[in-house]
Amino acid sequence: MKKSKIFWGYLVLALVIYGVGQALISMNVIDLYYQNMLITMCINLMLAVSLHLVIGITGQFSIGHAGFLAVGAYVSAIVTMKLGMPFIVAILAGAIVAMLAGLLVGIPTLRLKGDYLAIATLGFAEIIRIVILNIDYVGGAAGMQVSHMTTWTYAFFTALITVIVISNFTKSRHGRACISIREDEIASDAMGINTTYYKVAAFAIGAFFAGVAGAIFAHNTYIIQPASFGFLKSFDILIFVVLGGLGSLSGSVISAILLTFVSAYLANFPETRMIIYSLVLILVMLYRPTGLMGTKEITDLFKSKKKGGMTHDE
Amino acid sequence: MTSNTLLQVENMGITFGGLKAVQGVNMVLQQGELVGLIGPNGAGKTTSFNMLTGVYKPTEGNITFDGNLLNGKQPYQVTRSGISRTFQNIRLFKDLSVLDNVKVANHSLAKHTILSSIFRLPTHFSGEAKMEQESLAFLKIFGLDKYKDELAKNLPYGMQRRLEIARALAAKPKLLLLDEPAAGMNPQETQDLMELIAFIRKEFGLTILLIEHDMNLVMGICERIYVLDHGQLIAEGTPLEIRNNPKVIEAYLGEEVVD
Amino acid sequence: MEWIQQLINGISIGSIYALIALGYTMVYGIIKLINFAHGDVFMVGAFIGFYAIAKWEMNFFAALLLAMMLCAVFGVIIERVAYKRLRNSTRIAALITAIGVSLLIEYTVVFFRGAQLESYPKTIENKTITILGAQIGTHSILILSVSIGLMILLQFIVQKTKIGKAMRAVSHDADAARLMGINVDNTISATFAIGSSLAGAAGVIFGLYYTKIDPFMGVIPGLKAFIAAVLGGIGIIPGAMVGGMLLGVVETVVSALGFSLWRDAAAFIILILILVFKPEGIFGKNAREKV
Repeated sequence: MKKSKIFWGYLVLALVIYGVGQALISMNVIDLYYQNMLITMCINLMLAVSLHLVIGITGQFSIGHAGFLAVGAYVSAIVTMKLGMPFIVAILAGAIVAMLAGLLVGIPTLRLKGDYLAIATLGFAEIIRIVILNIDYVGGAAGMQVSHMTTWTYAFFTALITVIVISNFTKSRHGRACISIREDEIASDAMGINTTYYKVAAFAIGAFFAGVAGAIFAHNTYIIQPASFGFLKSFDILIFVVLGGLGSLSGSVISAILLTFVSAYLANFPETRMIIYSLVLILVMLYRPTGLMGTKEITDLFKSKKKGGMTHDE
Repeated sequence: MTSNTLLQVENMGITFGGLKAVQGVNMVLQQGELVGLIGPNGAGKTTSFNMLTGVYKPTEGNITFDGNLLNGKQPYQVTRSGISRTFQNIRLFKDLSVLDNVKVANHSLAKHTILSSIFRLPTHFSGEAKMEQESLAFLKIFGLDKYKDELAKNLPYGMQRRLEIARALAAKPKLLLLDEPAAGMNPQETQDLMELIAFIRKEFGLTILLIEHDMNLVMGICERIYVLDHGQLIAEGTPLEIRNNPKVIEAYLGEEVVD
Repeated sequence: MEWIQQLINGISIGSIYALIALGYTMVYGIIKLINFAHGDVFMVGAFIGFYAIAKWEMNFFAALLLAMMLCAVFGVIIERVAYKRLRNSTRIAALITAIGVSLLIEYTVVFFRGAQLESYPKTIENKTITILGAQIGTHSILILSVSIGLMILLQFIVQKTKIGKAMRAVSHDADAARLMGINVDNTISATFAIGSSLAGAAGVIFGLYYTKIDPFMGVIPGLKAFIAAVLGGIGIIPGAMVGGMLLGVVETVVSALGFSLWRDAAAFIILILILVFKPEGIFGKNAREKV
C-alpha cells in the first residue's frame, strides 16, 4: 500500500537522523552543550506535539500543560531516586500518572468553552504546582535532586514515539472525531460523536506525553523545582503550537525545533528572548493568526502542487 | 401509539428564563411519512428541532422515538438511536474535506478502538476501509464524489446544503430532520432538492420532518403539515387543509412572505 | 475580637482584587476578551506610584492620581495598538494576543530596570487603632476607603453619565448601539481607560500595603482578580466588587487557619468549583449558545 510506504520512508529518515546524532555524540564531534540542546529539542517537540493534539486538533484551549510536565517530572524522579527503579519504568510511571492527572483535570473542566477552559486549565496547573511545593517528600520549594540519566537515545525515541502515536491517532476515525469537535462541537454532537469522551481522550493522551517529556526533562537536569513549572512554562509550550499553526503537527515540530535554537542562542539574554517571543506571538496573531503552517502539514505542500497541475490538465 | 408510529411527542415545552418558548406541542409521525413544520419567524420551529435532538432539554413533556423515551438523552445518543438532522445555518466541518465530513457522521459504523488506531492493528485498517467505502457511496448519491477532497468551506452554497444532507444520512437515521433545506436556493436548485428529498426518502425508507419557509416546497412534497405560532401548535392537516385554515392565514398575516 | 481584625484585613486585600477585577469584568463585558495584560497595567501603576513618591516626592494622593491617569492612557494604547484589530478574529487569537501583550509589558520593564524588588516608600505611617477591641491598621482603613470611594465613583459613571450609558449599550449589543449613533470605538477605549485607571490605583495601594513591588507582581493578583470577576459573574460590575471582597476574606481565613502556603491554591480551587458548578457566577444569568 502507498500509505505504508510513506510511513516506512519517514521511519528510515528518523533512524538516519538518530544515527547521525548518535555518531556525532559518540565521536565527540559535538560537545555537551549541543548534546543538551538536541535533548531539549526532543523534550520541546514532545510538549509541542502533545499540546497540539489538545489545542490544534481538538480545539480545546488548554494553557496549563506545564502542570502535566511537572507531574511526569516529579513522579519519574520519585521512581528512580526514591524507589531505585530503572529509568524506563520511571518514564512509564510519570506518563501514566500524568495521564491520570489529565483525566482528573479534564473530566470536570472540558465542559467549559474557550476562555473559561483556558483559565480553568491554568488554575489546575497552578494547583498542581502549589501541591508539589507543599510536599516535603519531594523537597518543597528547594526542589529535588535527580541523577542524570537522559541520553540522546532515550530523548529521540520517546519523541519519535510521541509523533507516531499522535499522528496515528489523528489519522483515524478518532482523530476525525476530535477535529469535528474543533470545527463545530454542536454539529459533531449531532452527528453522533460523543464529544465529551473524545475531548477527555485527547486531553489524557496529551497529558500522557507531557508526562513522558517531564520524565526526560527531570533526568536531564540535576535538580527539579516547582518554580520551573509555572505558567511561563505553559506559555512557552503554547507558543510552539501557535507559531507552528493550530492544527498542524509538522508545524508544531518545526516551531519547537526552531524556537529551541532561538532560545539557546538567547539564553544569556532571557529578557530579550521573552520580548522577542511575545512580539512574535502578538504579530503572528495580528497578521497571520493561523501560524506558520495553518492546518496544513508539510507533506500537503508537495501534494497541493501536484494536484494543482492535474486540475489544470482537466 | 400504533405499531407504525415512529415518533410521538406529547405536551412538549421549554421555558427560557421564565419565557415559554414552546409549549404543549403534540405530534405523531408514522413510519415513512414526510411531514412539514411551518410557522412565522420566531414561532419555535428550530427550538422544537433542538428539543427533538437533545440539544435543548424540554422542561415538560415526553418524546418517544421508536418505542424509547428520549428525554434527558445527549444529542449524540439521540443521533445513535436514529434521529439525525441538518442545520438552518449550515454547520459543516469547514476545514475538513467533503469526504471526511461524511466520515465523521459514519463514525459509529466502524468499531476499532483508539488503541487499535494508535498501534495500527488490522481492525484499524479494515474499519477505516469500510468507512471510506460507505462514505464514498453517500457522496455518489448526492453527486458530490467529484469534490471529495475539497475542503467543505470551498464548496458552492448549494453543494454545502447537499453535503449537510449527505452527512446527516451517513449517520444512518430512521428519522431525518431538515431545518430549512432550501434556504438561500434559487428555484432550480429548490426543484432539484425536492426531487432529491423524494429520492432519498424512497431509497433509505426514511421518515422526514422538515422546516421550510418555501411554501412551494412544503405544499409540493409534504403529506401532512404542522403549524406553529408563538410556541404553540395552531393547526395540523394536509396541505390543502392548511392552505385554507383561517388560523394559519391569520398567523401569517403581517408577514409578507406567504409564498 | 480577632475575627473582626481578620475580616477587615480580608476585605482590604479583597478590595484591591475588586479594583483590578472591575477592569477585567468591564472589558470582558464589552469585547468578550480576557485581558491578560490587565494585571500588568496594575504593576505599571504600582511602579508609577513608586517613582512619583520616591523620586518626584509627591504625596500619596497625588501619586495615586498620577498613576491612575497614566494607566488610563496606557490601557487605551494597548487597546488601540493590539486589541482593536482583533475584534473580528477568533477568541483564541484574541486570548493569545493578550498573553503576548502581558509578557511584553513584563519583560520590557525587566529589560529597562531589572527584575529586582523595590521597597515602597512609607509615605503614610501605619498606625494601629483599636475599634471595639479589634486592632486595625490605618493602612487597611485607607485602602478600604480609597477602594470604596473609587467604586462609588465608578457606579456613578456607569449609571448616570452619558459615557456610562454608552458602555452599557455597547456591552449589551454593539451593532445596535452603533446604529443608534454611539461611537463604539471610543466607548471601548473609554472602558479600557476607566478599567486601567482602577488597576493603576490598585497598584499604588498594593505597594503601600505590601511594601514590596516587582515586575511580575501583577501576575498572581491579576489571575486572582480574574477569579474574583468570574466568581461574581463576569461582565457584572457589582459582581466583581463582591467577588473580590469574598476572595480576600477566604484567603485571609485560609492563612489564619495556618495554611498560608495553600493560600494561592484556595483561589484556584474556588475558580474550578465555580466554573464547574455555576459558571455564570454569583450574580450571572445563564446564557446559552444559539443553534
